[in-house]
Amino acid sequence: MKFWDILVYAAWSISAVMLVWMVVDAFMISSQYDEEYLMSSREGGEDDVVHGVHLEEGNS
Amino acid sequence: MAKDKITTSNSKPIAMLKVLNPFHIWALGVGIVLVGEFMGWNFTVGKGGAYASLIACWVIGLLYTCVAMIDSEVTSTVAAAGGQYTQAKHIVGPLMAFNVGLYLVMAYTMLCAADALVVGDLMKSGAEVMGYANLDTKPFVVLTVAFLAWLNYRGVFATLTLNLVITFLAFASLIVLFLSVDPLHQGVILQHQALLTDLPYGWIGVVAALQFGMWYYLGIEGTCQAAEEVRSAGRSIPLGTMGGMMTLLVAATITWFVATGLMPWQYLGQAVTPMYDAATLLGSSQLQLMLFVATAFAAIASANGCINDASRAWFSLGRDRYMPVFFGAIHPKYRTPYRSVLFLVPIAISFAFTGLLDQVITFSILSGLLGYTFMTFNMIKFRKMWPLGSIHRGYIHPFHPIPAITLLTLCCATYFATFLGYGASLLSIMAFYILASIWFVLRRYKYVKRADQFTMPWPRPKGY
Repeated sequence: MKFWDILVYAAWSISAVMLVWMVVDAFMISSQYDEEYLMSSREGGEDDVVHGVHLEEGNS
Repeated sequence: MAKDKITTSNSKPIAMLKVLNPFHIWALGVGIVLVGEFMGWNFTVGKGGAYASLIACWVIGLLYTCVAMIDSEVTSTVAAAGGQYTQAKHIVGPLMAFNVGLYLVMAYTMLCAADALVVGDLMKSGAEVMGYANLDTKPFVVLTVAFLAWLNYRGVFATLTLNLVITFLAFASLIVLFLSVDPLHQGVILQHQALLTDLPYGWIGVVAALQFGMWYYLGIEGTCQAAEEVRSAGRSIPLGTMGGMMTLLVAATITWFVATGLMPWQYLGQAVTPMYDAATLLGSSQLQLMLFVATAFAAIASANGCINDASRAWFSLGRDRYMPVFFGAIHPKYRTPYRSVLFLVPIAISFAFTGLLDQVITFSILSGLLGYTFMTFNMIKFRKMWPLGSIHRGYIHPFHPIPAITLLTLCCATYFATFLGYGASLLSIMAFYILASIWFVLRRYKYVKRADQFTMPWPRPKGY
């Protein structure tokens, strides 16, 4: 078997491992965490610098 | 013993990590674009000759400078994932936001597919040089998307640090190539006097070149997708975006200068890898190898940034229920929009497997162009509703409304250029977005929580 044939098989295999790993991890996260918690993020997150200024200006 | 699920009642709300700095923003923007300097830009030469390409390079450079300025101001204020989608939601309205979100997802996913195709083709070329013909490109296309998705899944810091390294190396290779052609001495290596001709197709060729001129800069606006993960967005986004734009203007001009001084426009206008060809003409195997690796790095950096940006846009659509809310989840360990990353993998691979590189890229370019057109109206409305001084801005772009008007004018010129070369594609893409808008209004908008849309703690807009 030539080097390039081995490389083709290696590319398929590594791709499969990484894709399966992500799918399995996603399922495990869903089983361990409540959906409401996983989707509880707020827009902008916790930008205390920019949003802090906004709040002050908005309240003034 | 079964463990209880972790819920919001025993934890704080989840959020993406704020770990990025201006260098990561630069790497995200320039990383997505730089592959266009290694290939694609040269189709401008085919449309109108070498001088038309230079005019397109600078005219479209002006278009993107307007985009970068406008984006920097709005994003420094609306610092949230989703970028232009979130801006549209706050400033224009839901239908515009849905369309802009879709433009972003389609533009980046298709660009990612095109980048993966380029990596596959480079592997095939490398195998041919080493004596192995007909290498199957599919496994390398899949590997590129899978590896970069895996990286994006596991955290934004490592993802964009990788982009920083490989983008810098790719940019450095262009500088090395520029220095290798002895740029100060015309006629020694560079033959501009002999190779530069008048405009072969006249000024209509210059207009036609505008469409492919977008390759020089397409994607720099993606920097604002990182707004929710960057420390001090008001400072980092403008710094990274404007720094990236300056880098690209230099890279684009260098690229044009070197390639047009080495190759006649008839060849350059249809070359697949013009910068690699330039290195080949110089007769240095080290330069050849360097440009081969740099082209691969640029394509990988572009695909990496595209996965990052497409997933943030899709995540934001999900979080606001413009798309199924399932996609609005954040990974509790890696703090990434992991479901959106995973969802876009098969879509990117499917586009790549079509093998239609030019159609995929055209769809990507037109989606980007529609987004830039929106920015002009968005900017005018933004300044009208919240004039200077009413809210904090991390960056204020100068000469308003000249950049917005310039941007709209150049977008119209580019639509015309696209119509000349890809009229059917332009019309079918317009039809796609009109159908998607109808679907959103009739079937999807009822799920959107209208009261939750406006999240920025801003004062009431002027006139409302």
